[in-house]
Amino acid sequence: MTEILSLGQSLELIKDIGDAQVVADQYSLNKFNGTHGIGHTRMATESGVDIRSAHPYWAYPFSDVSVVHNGQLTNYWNNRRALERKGMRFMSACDSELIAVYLANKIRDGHDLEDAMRSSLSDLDGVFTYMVATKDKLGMAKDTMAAKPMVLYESDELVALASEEVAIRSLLPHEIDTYDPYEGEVKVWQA
Amino acid sequence: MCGIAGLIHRGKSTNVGGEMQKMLQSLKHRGPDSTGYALYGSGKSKDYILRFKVGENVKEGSSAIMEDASVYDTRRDEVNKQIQEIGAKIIKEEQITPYSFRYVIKCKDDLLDLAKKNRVSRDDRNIIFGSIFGAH
Repeated sequence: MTEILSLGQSLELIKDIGDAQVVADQYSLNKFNGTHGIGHTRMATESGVDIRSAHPYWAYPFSDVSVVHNGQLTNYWNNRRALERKGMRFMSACDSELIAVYLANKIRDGHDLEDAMRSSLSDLDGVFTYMVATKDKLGMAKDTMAAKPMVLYESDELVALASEEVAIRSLLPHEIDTYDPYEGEVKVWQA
Repeated sequence: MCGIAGLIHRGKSTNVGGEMQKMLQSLKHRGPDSTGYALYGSGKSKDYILRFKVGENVKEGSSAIMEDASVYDTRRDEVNKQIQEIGAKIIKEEQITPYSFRYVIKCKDDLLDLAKKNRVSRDDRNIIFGSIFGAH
């Protein structure tokens, strides 16, 4: 079935079956030059192994907004119906997409990214850690229960964050200091 | 269980595709089934990049059902048609896999404005701005 993965002036969304290396080779991602990115590795639990169920999700139809998350939202349908009443459309039943569309709607209503993320922590129920990217920003939010892991490294040159420190060390093999964001924490960085 | 990773450079562009690959590969134990990337290029172009797929990968390990390849052509034609319908023009097209494509399209209007204009009934069949996807 046809699926629009992304439409934007800087965002390119690529997802497929296989590990990071397999997908990167298939789509020649090693040549992709840019300022920032987010990504997701999925273990199929609730739905099948196919591209449709793979993350990240684009915040349709807002160009250049994408989301990845780890965790589960428990009030998915209430939030989705509320957003659909405002004219927002959904392409999947994945809760990452709900976060993306929720944030996009807030931004459309005039909130800045950080405000939108802060209100998501009270409006969205469940256990989750998510990252959002826009044309020139990267943000992360951790719910108040903080059950899902996140490790962060920040320097003047770059910010790297991941579910586990091993991912940050794959980029920065030298001695680095990382830390875990607090529960209910929201952070946004500019490219 | 899943793994997520992100990276942002302050004030410069690098091989962010290769860097994200390294980060995600090291999280393979958290999720070996599929991998997704949202990568942000320089963003200087006024043109839009469209990434879409017309089918699934049915290789070993996939739970997707094999379809006749002829439906891919039909679906792609439909996307092409709808790009024209929104008044945009395809200026470059690449086929990455039998089912996935990357287009560069020129569009006079802001996408969000276009989407608002196309915010009609739920039966709308425009793939780009419609709800053809339904609930899955």
